Amino acid sequence: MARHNVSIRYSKLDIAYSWIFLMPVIIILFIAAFIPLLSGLFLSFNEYKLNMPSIPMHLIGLKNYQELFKDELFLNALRNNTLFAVVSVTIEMILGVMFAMMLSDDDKLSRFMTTIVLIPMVIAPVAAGTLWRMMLDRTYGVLNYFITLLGFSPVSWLGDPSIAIYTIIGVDIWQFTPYITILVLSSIKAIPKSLFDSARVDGASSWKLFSKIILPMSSPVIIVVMMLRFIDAFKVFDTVFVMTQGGPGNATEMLPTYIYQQGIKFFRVGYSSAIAVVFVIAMSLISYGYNRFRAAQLRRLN
Amino acid sequence: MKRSKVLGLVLLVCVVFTATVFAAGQAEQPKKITALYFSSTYADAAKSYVDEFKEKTGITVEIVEYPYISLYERMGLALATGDTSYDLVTVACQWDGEFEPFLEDLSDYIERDNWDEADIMQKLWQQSGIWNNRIIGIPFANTPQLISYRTDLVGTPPKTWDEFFGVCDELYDPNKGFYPIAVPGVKEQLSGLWMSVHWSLDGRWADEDWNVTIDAEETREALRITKRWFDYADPAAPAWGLPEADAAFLNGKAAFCFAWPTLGVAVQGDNPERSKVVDKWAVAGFPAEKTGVTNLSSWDIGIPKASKNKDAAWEWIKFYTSKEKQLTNFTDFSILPSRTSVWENPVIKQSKMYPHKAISDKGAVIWWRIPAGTMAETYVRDAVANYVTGQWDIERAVKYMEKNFKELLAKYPPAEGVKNTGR
Repeated sequence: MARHNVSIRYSKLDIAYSWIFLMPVIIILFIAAFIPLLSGLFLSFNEYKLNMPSIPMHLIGLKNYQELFKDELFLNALRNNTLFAVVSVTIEMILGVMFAMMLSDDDKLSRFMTTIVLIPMVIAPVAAGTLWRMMLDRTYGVLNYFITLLGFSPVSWLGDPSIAIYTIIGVDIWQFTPYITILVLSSIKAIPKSLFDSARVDGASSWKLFSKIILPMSSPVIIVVMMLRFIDAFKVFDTVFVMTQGGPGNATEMLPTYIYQQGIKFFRVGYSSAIAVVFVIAMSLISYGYNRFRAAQLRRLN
Repeated sequence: MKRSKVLGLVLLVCVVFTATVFAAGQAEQPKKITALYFSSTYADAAKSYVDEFKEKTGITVEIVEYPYISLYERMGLALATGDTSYDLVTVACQWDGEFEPFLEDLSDYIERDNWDEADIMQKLWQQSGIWNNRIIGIPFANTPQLISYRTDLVGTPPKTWDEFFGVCDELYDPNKGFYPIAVPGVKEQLSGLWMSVHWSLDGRWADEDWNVTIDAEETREALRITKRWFDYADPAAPAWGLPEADAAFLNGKAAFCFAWPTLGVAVQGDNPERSKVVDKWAVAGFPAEKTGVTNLSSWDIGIPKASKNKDAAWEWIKFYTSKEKQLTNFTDFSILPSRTSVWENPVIKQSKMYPHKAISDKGAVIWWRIPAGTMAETYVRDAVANYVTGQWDIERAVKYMEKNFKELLAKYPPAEGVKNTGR
C-alpha cells in the first residue's frame, strides 16, 4: 500500500500563536523542572553538607559519582529496585491485560466489577501500606490467621529478609494492577466493533481475536502504561517506608529511600544530588527506549 | 480638576485610615510563638499547658508536632535554611551537635533571669543541651534505656546475659505463642538497643580523641548477644516497631520488653482495659555486665537563631522546664524529669519508674553528638540489622562500621577541641 506524506504549511501567524500557547508551559517547565535539574547537576559536583556551615560548599569534580559506584548500600538499593520494578510491572501488566479482557463486555456485571477493581488504586499508598502491615503481621494479622486455619505455620511476611521484598511487590501488584486494567480496558473499548464482527464471520477463535486484533491494537497504550508504571516503580517510596523502612537489614532498601536518607537525613546535598542525577539519566534512557518501541509499534500498525 | 482633587483627597484619607487600623491591629496583636515538638507524650504535655501559659504571660503558644521519623528532617531543614517558622525546637540530644550552629546560646538568658540552673542534672545536661561549652537547650525528658519485665515470671531481674538467657530458656514456649523477649527489631530501635549492650560491656566506638576503636571483642560480643535475642523472640520481631513490642508484652505474650518503657508499658501497663499484666510488671536496667552504662534518650528545648520572638520563647522554656511542670509531666505523661529536686519528690521515688534514676546516675550516654552523628548511627543501624537478620557475617558488620566511621570523621571532623564525651 502506498503511503502518502502530507506536509502541512503553517502561516507565520499560526506559528506565532503556537508559541504563545506553548510559552506558559515552557516557562513553568523551565522554572519547575530545568532549573532544579541544572541546580542538582551543579550540586552533584560539590561537597556540601547542609548542617555544617563550618565546611562551605566546595567543588570536588566527579568524586561523588566515583563514591556512588563503590557504595555497597547504593548498589544494593539499585539491585532491589530493579528486581522490584521488573517483577511487579511484569506481573501487573499480565494481570492488568487479563482483567481488562474479562471486564471488556458491556454488561452490568462488568461495569460493577470495574468499579470494585478500582478500589485499591484510590487508596493512598501510605494508608495501603499501613493496612497491609497490620494484615500481614505474623501474630495478629488476618492473612496468617487464615493460613493457620488451613493448617500451615504462620509466615513472617515482613520480618524475613528473603520474603520481605516479595511481600512489598505483592502489595504493589494489588494496588496498581487496577490502574493498568482501566487504561487497557479503555483502549480495548476504543477498537471498532466492526473488526471483531468481521473476524468472527471469518471464524476467528477468541485467542485469535486477542492475539491478532486486541493485543496489536492496544499495544501503543500498553507500552505507554508499562513505561509509566516502570518509572513509578523506580520511584516507590511510601509503601516501603511505611511497611519496612528498608528492612529487615537492607533487604527492601530502594533508591528513593536511599536518596532520602542521604539528602534529608544526612544533609549530604552533593552526594544525594549525584544519585538523583544518575536516577534521572537512567529513567530518561528507559523512557527513550519505550518511546522508540512505541513509535515502531505505531508504524507497524499504520 | 476640582473633582480629581477631591478624589485624590478621599483616596489619601482611605490610605491613612487603612494604615492606622493596620498599625493599631499590629500593636494590639497578642504575642504568639510556635514550638516544634516530638509528637508523643512531650507534645501532649505541652499542649495541656498552653492555656495556663497564656493566662500567665499573655503569650499564645502553637504546638506543631511531628513523629520522630520526620521531626529530624523538618527541624534540620528549618534550622539550616534560616526558616523563621519556629521559635522553639525540641531537640533529641543526639542531634545537638548537628543543630548547634543554628541554635541560640541560652547563657545570657539564664544569667539575666538568674534561672535555677543548678537543679538541672549536670551530667545529663552535658549530654543533652550543652555542646562545645555552649548552652543550646534545657533538658526536659531524661530517659535512660531500660527494659520492662514480668515480676510474676522473672522474679529478680538478671544481672548478666547468661542469667538472662537462662530465664529465657525456661520460659520459651512458642507452642503457646509465648516468646520471652518482645523486641522492636526495626533498624532504628535495634541499633539503640545494641548500643546499650555494647556500652554495658565497656565497648566504645572511639576514644576521647576520636580514634576509632570499634573493631574490638566487645563489639562482636554485643552483636552476638543482640542476635541471640531473636532466638527467643517472635519470628516477626525483625519487622516490629515499638507498638508491636509493647502489644506483645501487654498481652502477656512476653516476659521482657525492650521497647522504651516510658512510651508504652508505663502508660498502659496498669490499665486493665489495655493490659493483661496489670500489677505484674516492673522496669530494670539491662544486665549490667561491666559498666552498666546504657543508651540515653534525652530531649532538650532550645531557641533557633532565626526566631523573632526569643524572649517569649525563653519564657515558655522556663515554664515548661519548671519543677512544677516536670512533676506534672511525670504524673500525667510519664515523662522523666531532668531536675534533681523533682527526682527526690516522693511521688516519683515511690513509682515504678524510679529505677531509671539509678541507671541515669551510672551515666547513660548517647552516641556521637557531632555534626555527622546521624550518619554514624545509621552505619551502626545497617551493620547491626544486617548481621542480626543473617544477611552479613560478624566480620563484615564490624569492618563496615570501622571503615565508615573513619571516613566520616575524616570528611566531617568534629569542631576543634570537641572531645568524645560519649562512647
